[in-house]
Amino acid sequence: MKYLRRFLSKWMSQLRKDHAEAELIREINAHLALMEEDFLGRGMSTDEARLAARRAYGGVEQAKQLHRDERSILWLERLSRDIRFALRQLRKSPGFALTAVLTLALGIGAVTSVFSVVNTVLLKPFVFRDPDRLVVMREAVGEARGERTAIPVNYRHFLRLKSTATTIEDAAIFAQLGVSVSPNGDHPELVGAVVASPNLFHLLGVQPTLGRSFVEADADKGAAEVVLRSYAGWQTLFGADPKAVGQKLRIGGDPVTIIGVMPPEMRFPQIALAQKIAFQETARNAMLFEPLVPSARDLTADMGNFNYKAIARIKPGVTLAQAIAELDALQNSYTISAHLPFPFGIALTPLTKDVASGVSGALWLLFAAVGAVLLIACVNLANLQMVRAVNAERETAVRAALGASKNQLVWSRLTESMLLALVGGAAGAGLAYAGVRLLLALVPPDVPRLDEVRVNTPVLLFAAGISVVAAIAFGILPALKSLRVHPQAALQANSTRTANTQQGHRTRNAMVATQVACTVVLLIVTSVVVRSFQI
Amino acid sequence: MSSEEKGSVQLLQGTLDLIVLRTLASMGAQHAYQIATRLQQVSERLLNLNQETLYPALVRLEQYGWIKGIWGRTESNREAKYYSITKAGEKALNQEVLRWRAMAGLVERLLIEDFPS
Repeated sequence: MKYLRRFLSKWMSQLRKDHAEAELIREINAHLALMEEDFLGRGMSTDEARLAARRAYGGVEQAKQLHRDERSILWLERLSRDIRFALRQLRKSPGFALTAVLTLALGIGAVTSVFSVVNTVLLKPFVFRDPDRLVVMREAVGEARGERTAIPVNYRHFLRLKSTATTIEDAAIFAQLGVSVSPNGDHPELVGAVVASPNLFHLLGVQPTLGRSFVEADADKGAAEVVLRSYAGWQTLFGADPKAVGQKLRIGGDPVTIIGVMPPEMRFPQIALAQKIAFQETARNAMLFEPLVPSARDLTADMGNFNYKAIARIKPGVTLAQAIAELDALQNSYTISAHLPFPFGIALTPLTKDVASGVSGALWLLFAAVGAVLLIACVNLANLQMVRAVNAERETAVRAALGASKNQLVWSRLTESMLLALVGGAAGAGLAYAGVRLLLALVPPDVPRLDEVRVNTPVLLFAAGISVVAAIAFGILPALKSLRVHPQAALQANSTRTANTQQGHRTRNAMVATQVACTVVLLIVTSVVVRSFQI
Repeated sequence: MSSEEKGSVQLLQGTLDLIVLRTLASMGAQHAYQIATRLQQVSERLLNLNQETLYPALVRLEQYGWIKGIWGRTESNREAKYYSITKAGEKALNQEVLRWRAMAGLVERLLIEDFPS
């Protein structure tokens, strides 16, 4: 309670600084006057009394400072002093300030743009329930040299595996295709659709925001045709009409009923039919979901008809290797007992990995490349700051001689770097908005989840964090340099000589070496990135 | 006289607050000079209180809400800021006194145990 009260009144006195200061001076003067009066009463002359009062009181200026320290928030006071000092210093060299801010803005902007892609494509989890247990299932056929190639799934094989396997909880099968839709008899549009077994959303653990999800009966032959739509589909095709549920829609001429709308955060993962085989797929952005009504061919064909994608959910406590072992063995023995011409197996990959596979390596490399760019920027700025620190040595010496503590000296120089980095970081975050758009235009469009990439709060937090790290990276060496200033030597020497001391040489050599190393790394990484995006 | 002078007592952290509160509680509203003079009298000059160290204590206590300063006039019609103890200050004083007694008692007991005389 008392600390809260004190904290509040400290803020008050911070806000009414002039008032507090005037009050203090008035009180000290009153105090001195009373003492003077006392001494006069003891028979001193006016001048003697004044001097005696001053002597008895002690240092008036020290008293004022003690009072200020006690009544105000010390760190805030120091911080604002350091910031004012740093601003004054920067205003004296606007060229340096501008260079530093622009360099940092470019570096931080580049890193932040790439991070926003990395964050979405590689780091952000899906909105599905327990996404770690979701796996993409594909069939695998043996080839010469013992390698196996993953291929899409056959419906009959899928059904067998789903009913016999014990390591998986559930599995859903689906196909993606483009369909022509006319919302109310207008000109038809081609949109992406997912035709899936009714348990798909139950398996993923997603509920529609409007209406209902599929039930098993929707997939029965002759059942009324129904359709679910994605949130984006609801907005583009129906103008986000809340009465869309229950309305009719024509898909390829057949009327279907809309039964629900999926939540906005659910974006259907872009799963390739097979990882190493390129298929031409139309309309990848799924806007409609239809129940899969198996055809006669689906139910009877054991060979051919490898047309489907499948997602399975591994039972809790079962490892990926165990699930692969079981499914692979089941499929193997089936192909032998059914006398199929090829031995088939099963390949499983975790959903998160499958969706990003192929680009994750290249993305990380790109991230490393822009990281190297930022590092080079930091080394350059450290060099510039070092020169400034050397130039300011006399000033530092004066401050040290006047009693500034080592802490204060380091902090006031570091504050300047922080200020530059924060301004640069803010500009960099602004650049990232443009950078992300540029990146999206440059990277191959088959990189998954690209439509989800945007500069959001985590990305901005990342930019802020990287700015602080950058400030420390380029500010700490020059700041520590001010500790090594010997007031006497610095005040006597002229500044050009100190710049050429052995000490300065060694630090600068180290920085040049770092910069060269960074550049080499950058060159290597860039060439690898270029190659990996070409293939 | 400097506070390091032989025979003078260095103040323990936090005891100045207690002393100031006690003085105000027993003497009523006082200005800073009166408080300083009073402390020197009571301590028979053993406790050499620098006037400048009194102000931080007054600020602290006022910020806690334990004392309140009001500008007034002395008998000789000079202006001075009179500090008086508040309700919260009286409560705090009682607690501080108890704490001090407990502390002093503990130290005393330890000293007797270590140096039986």
